[in-house]
Amino acid sequence: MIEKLQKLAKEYLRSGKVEVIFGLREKDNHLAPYIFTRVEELDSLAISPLYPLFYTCRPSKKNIIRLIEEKYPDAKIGVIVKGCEERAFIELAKRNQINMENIEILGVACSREEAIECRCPRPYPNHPLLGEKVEGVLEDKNVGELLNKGLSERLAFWQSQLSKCMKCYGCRNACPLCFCQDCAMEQELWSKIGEIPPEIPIFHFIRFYHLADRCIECGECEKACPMDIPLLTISKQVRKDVKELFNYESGLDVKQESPLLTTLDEMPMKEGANK
Amino acid sequence: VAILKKILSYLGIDPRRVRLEWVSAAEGQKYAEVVTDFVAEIKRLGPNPLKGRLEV
Repeated sequence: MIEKLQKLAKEYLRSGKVEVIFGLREKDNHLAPYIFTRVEELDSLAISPLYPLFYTCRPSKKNIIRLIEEKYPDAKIGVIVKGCEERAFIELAKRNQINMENIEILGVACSREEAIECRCPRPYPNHPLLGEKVEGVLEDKNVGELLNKGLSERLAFWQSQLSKCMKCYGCRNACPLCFCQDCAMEQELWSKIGEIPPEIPIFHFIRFYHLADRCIECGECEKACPMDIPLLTISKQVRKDVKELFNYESGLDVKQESPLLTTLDEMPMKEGANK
Repeated sequence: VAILKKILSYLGIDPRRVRLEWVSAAEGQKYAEVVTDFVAEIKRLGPNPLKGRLEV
């Protein structure tokens, strides 16, 4: 599998279809994101369901694609992505955070085992160049357990879970879709400096609510949490709700607009209309 | 608001505590009804279970 991917990536780079390739590199038994510019470097190209490719880099708060574009202006960037990462790219493009015209998606499907490990509902990109589209995990155990609880039980559950929070902001930093320059979770109004745990449940509620129409279920928030708070549980269920209520699923199509975004185009008071 | 209520319910907060209604300035009667009804419902639900925490 990995040899095939390396071969494919080399062809892309050699033929000039792309000028740089962004993917994971294995070095000294560790994986890290890397910008490949030479064909021979691609021998160390790797892929793993556990390591995300996409970050909003801090403290510059620029996403990694922006940084690559700054370093290699006008270059066509090939990105080696799994299903979740492709969904992240699509959502970011929708929200004008990246420009898809400069990006060539090289999608790789995950295996069923990998999907189970990640509890991923859609372990493949739209058009995988490698691997087969296998069924994802559609029913989540944690979500089921939560829904079986009554309101007061849920509250007790989250109070005990969220009281573990030490406000490391790992969930937010790991999230590919948390790109706001000014984050509400840092505002004194919602989270007092020096107070741990942050106010329950509003601190985490802000994140769940902001991500309602963006979450792509990559699970990075939960993986990043050092206190093992099951953050994905709510995001997974909210994603289902958005689908049921608005027939909308994030991360599938750049052209599909979020139902939670309102435009003022259809308001009666258009510019100059009241003259 | 639909999503807001859903998330609140997953966190264990009664979604009936949130309500969004659109009332025109010309509908004084309706406004009074909506508010009275909501107040009655909140009274029925009793104090917010998060109350202790919110009064920092």
